[in-house]
Amino acid sequence: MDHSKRNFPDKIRGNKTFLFLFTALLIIFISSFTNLYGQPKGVLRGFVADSLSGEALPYANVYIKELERGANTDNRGFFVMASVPPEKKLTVSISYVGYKSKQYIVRVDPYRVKDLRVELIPINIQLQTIEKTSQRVAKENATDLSLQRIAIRDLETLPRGVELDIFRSLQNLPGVQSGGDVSARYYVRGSTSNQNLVLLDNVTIYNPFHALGIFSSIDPDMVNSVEFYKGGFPAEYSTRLSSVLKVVTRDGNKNDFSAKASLSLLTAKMMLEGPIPHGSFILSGRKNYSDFILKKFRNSNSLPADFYDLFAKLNYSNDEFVKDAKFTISAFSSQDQIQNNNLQLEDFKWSNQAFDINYFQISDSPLFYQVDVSSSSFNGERIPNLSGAKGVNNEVSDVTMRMDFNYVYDSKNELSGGFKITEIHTKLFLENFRGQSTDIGSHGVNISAFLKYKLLQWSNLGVDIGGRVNATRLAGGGPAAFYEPRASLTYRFIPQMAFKASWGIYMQDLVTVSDENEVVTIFEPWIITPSYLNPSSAIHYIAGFEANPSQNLSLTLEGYYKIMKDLAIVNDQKYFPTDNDFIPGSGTAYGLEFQTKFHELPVDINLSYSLLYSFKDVNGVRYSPRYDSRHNVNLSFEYDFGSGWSASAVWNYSTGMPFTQIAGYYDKLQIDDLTSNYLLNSYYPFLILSDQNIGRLPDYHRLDLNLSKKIQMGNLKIYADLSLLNAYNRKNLFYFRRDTGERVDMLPFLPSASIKVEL
Amino acid sequence: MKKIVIPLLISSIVLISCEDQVNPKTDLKDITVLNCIIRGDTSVQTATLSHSYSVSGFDPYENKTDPCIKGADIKIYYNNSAYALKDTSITRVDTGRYNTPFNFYYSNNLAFINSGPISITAILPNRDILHASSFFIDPGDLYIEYKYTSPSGVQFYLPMNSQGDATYKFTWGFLHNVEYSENIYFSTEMIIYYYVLNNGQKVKYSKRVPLYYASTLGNKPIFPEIQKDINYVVYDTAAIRKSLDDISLNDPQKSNYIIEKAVLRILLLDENLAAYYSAQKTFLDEFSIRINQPDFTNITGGVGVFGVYTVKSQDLYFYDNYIQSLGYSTL
Repeated sequence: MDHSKRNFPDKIRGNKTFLFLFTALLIIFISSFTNLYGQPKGVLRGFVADSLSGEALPYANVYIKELERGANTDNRGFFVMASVPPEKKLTVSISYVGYKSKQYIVRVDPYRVKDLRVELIPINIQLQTIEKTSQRVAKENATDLSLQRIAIRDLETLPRGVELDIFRSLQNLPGVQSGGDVSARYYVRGSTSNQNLVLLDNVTIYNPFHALGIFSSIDPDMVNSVEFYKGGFPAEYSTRLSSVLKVVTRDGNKNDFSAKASLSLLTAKMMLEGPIPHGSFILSGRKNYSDFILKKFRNSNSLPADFYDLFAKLNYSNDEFVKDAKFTISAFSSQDQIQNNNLQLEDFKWSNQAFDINYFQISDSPLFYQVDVSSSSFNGERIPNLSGAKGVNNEVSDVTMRMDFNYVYDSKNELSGGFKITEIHTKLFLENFRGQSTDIGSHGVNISAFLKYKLLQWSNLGVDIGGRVNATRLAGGGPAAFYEPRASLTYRFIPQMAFKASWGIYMQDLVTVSDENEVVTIFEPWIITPSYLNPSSAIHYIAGFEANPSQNLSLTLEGYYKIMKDLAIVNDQKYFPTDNDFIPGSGTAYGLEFQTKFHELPVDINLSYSLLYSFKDVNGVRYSPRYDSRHNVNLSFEYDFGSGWSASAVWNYSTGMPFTQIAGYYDKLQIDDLTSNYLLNSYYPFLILSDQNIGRLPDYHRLDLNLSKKIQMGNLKIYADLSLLNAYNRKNLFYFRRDTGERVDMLPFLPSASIKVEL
Repeated sequence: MKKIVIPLLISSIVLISCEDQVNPKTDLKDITVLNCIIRGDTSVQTATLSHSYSVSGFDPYENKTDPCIKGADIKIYYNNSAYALKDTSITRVDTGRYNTPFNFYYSNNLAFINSGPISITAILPNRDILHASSFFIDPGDLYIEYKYTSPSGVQFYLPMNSQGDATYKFTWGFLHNVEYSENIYFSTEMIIYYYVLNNGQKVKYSKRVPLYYASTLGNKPIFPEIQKDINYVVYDTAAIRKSLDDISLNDPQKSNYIIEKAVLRILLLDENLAAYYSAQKTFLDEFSIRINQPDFTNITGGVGVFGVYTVKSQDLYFYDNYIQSLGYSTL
């Protein structure tokens, strides 16, 4: 039975104008209503930063003792607490892991915004004492289902593999599947990897992978925080069906010049940061220098990969120029090359470039707004040489302008909105075996706007309702406009437990040319959805519970059901040049995710389990895609010995991935020349495959161990790490070569070390 | 305690670190393969029938047992008649893999009279039935026209002494409405037939002429493709001239070469054969994002192909003086 066809709300799509108007009117009605009954209230607003570097501290805890109210800073280090009783002495406590907590006595004036700038002092890294947080109070009614907020320092204590990699760290989250040890590419809740949006600050990065996709091209040293939506993401995010990974970069040290150098078995890295007049800069670069480690990922086969990435950012904030404003210019570049030096083999090269100008403004009222002008481009090329493969050349260029605002009402409710104009050009040059090439790319403009209202005035209820209307689409068939309604709810029925749910419709106009059965994808060329297909769309239904039985223990349980329609599938039955390259397919994914965290110094334990069912329907055939791993368990254990010593262990288990088995051979008639007498002499063995992905590889499991030592001598900090990857040398099967039956395993037991020096 | 825990720990690590045995192969999928390409230019029609097989390893060439199926009842149905195909064998040309005779089925009395539906049914010894159908197009229903674009042309004679970028355009069409004609795929080939004198003996050869030589691709010869909804083909004069020159390349004794004629052949393929052929050839030749070679079959109850292929030919003669100007002889 094709569930997707049965359940997908065509009527909703068809009545998009009505729905959008309804949502907008509802938001306007609610927002005007909430302004009617107002007692004199004030607003407490603040910015929390590191006292040494001035770097914003994301997700720090802010707690008003007398009101028993808490908040978290956002990814820029800002927080707003509306509806604060005026003319009262209030004790505001600010805390953040690894920093000394501070308390302030503040008095808020009625109808005024009280600004608080907080600088927390980092605790010497060798000291054991770590402040406890007030996180539980802060999350009372946050509509954050399926959202994982990750401060980069939280990842540093886990086994880092060869080196810390954000994408690989995501793979420890429930609901996130990996393509194996050999790939940092990730699959979220039964969707393909091209349905994941990767934003570096506000800029889309199209192929953020190095070296056959083994590592991500975003150097964690330039990252301040990460927000990761596994689904149900709110209206400010668009253009993808499955997930959003928003990487927020660091601003650089505002107070002092500093330098970091680090060396792993794979790369050498350098980072410089420091103050400039009224601002700061940061400059980081990373380059690989050896393929020793890469060989381990490839069954000891050489991988002549050469890559680097560069990041630069300038911040400027001068009240004499523009009060309470911040200007940021950032640039990112990554380049990869696989040069085999053998004409019988293909060569590859690809690069990402991104540039962003951001203007962020805090107004006198509790209003934030920002304007972004950005560009992002990707170039990828497969150079066939004399290998017999076909050449491919892909270019994507994306120019985006966006404006977002966020207003906090006295009632604590929030109104957000914004618009975005994106122009995308894609070129995909395909070569035939004659060496001729043709471009199947196109270009288009997407103009969209979003509006959402967050109902937060009751401490035990949070509702986020909104939508995005795409006035024009990049291309493709179907309706010219597309409406994406979104809604999310949190209801805390007892202080220790909350029910959460979210729902939304999502649209994607860009597709990648990818064969999901390929075990290694070097890069996936992007094109705008061809005009003969409707845009891909999805609907998410998510619900779950969050429980905090004690200050140190948290549990979450989430279930989801996701329907995908009009997925662009490479046409395996393209017999003639005039046949379409893509055909529409549909998909369904559903599952359960459980996660529990226990934190009691010096121990941190994290256990998660996910159950996933994922199906695709193409040409009337239903099958499980390669990333449909039924059961996944992740267990991590961290122990802080004090004096800068810490150790951790991570164990991953997942059901084996589906694969298509060999079901025999037959002698197939080969017609080289239509006029010859081929029927009586021209046959070759042809592989018979079982039903697609009906087989399962053996289960995957792996234990990684890590020992870290942090040394601080004055301003000099040294971070040394020793990791044992696949500690018990589990032979996890990656794939079989169908022509030889050769078994290709994933990463073997591998010790790895890295050292980072910071001055 | 240590005496228990440590061996237990070691043995458990050894146990879980062992690789799981998994077989990339599953049970043999029992598939029957029927191939039959109807040729409109002959009354002898052949078909082959075989079954799938498995090997112990991963090299299918390990299989040395001919998987042909004998004793089946195969009939072709055309023009309200049934033509039974007889079970026979011939000496195998290539015995590198199978050293038994090559088994096939044939009929030598299938005369095509006119355009019409055609089908095949194979009843296997185990009573399984394979079936496929198509449509035969009588080449007599097709006409060919010829046009020489520049300078003025001469009907049905190739004026090879012309200069410049002249092209030869051949147009074809159906003389009357023919059912199924919209599902026909066309390709063309131009072949030069010639003799070479060798010790007084004339040996016949042929040379295939490309549409043109692509100068941007290192003078790569470009040959016609299979296409639907086309009714013409254009040959470059220079390509014909170069093909003539290449006949005697590096041989100073040009007069030993006797040019007989050229033949233009319009190949008509039903959509089944076109798809089967294209799945093998177009995958390599054309612009496609597809990575894997597709597989086509139109056999109900099995795999393989039942296709129809007919040819409409047009002889093209060269001017004698032109052939002689190249140093060649004429008949």
